[in-house]
Amino acid sequence: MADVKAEAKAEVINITIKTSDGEVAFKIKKSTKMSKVFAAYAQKKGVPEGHYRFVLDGARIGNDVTAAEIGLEDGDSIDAYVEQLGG
Amino acid sequence: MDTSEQVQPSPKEAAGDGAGLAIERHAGQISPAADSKARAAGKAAVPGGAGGGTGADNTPSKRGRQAGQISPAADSKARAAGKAAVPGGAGGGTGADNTPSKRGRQAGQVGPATDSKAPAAGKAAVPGGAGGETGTDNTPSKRGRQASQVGPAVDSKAPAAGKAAVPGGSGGETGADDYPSKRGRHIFNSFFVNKLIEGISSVKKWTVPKRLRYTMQATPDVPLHHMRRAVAPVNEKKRHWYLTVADFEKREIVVYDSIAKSIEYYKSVVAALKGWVSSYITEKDNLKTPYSTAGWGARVACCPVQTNGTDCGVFTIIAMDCIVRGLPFSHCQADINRLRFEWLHKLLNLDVTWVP
Repeated sequence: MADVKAEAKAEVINITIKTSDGEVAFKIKKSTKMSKVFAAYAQKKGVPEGHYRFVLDGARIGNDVTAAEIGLEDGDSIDAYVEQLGG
Repeated sequence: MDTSEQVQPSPKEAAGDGAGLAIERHAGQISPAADSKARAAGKAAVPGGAGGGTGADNTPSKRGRQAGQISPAADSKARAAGKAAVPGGAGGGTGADNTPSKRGRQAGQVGPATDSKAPAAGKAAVPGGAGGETGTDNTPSKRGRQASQVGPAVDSKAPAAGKAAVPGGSGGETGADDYPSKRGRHIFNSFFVNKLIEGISSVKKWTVPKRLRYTMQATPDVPLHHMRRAVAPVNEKKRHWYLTVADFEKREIVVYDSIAKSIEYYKSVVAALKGWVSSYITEKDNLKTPYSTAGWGARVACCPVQTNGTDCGVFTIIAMDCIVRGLPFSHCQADINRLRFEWLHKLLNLDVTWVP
């Protein structure tokens, strides 16, 4: 019983997506696919999906994983980077 | 990079790790091909001679075996020592039983084969010989086996001292470390350095075991400074790529740039990396006073240069590949088109094992 309670409690988390020029907060369920969050972020920024690379503490985040799967916790922040080019 | 890594290339299959993924293979140039669960090392101490050949069984459920050029492939149950004290001759090889429940055996060229439970010290004197790189077992729960060229076969659980007296040669990397699963290198992703420059606090969590596990580092619980080096590619203002290496063994920051400038040019990156080294070690080792990087050097390494304005990324990848495998640089501008395609195909066919 205690487990069920704890799970229900932990379900919704607050995260932020950061770039060098600011951050956007999201409230998501732990079972939410990250692609949904990324799409929402891209829309807010007015860029096509795929424009940003999302990285959680050095680990690139795939589209098809859920917040729980990558161990996202309340208060975590994700870094959004744009493509790096060089020659 | 010490010269011991540059004597000659190891079989390509021997080294499997690309971009820091958990393909549990790592082999130095002279040293070993490795089983994905365990590893052994075959080596050669050959003044101007040939290296030890290795053969490894990569099927985890099977035993890995390796044989050096001259020496015997050992029976997996028998202890084996390959001995080759041949001036100008070839090195010894190891036969190792990689089955976790059994004891590992090692054979050094001149040195002893040791039981994995026994502390071992190997000594060897090879005039003009270069040091060998060691291969280590990366699976923490298992016993590691190592054999280095001149010396010590060292079990990773046993405290060991390897000594190599090598007149005119460079010292061997013994891998003698009391940490159970010492590993060659850590590879940061391409965002690390730029993030680090923004502020050290923003990368604090990048190196916690949980995240390392997620990024498929093979040994997420090994503190990075127990490794030989940490490698980080740098993207400079979205215009240029080069490579930086924090060498924990030689205590220096090394820059590999295909359009090299003086070290002065890289001072902000070097300072940031030194800052990270200091903060990381201080935190990991619970030091009361911050770890000082005053003794750390910084240099721009001599490496192949590009003659155009488009290939820096490829040069950076190749340099990284050579460094983590302990291979010498053997590429130049004329090879880049070929290497670009080789790497494209390599990446498309990446054999990655997911380790959740």
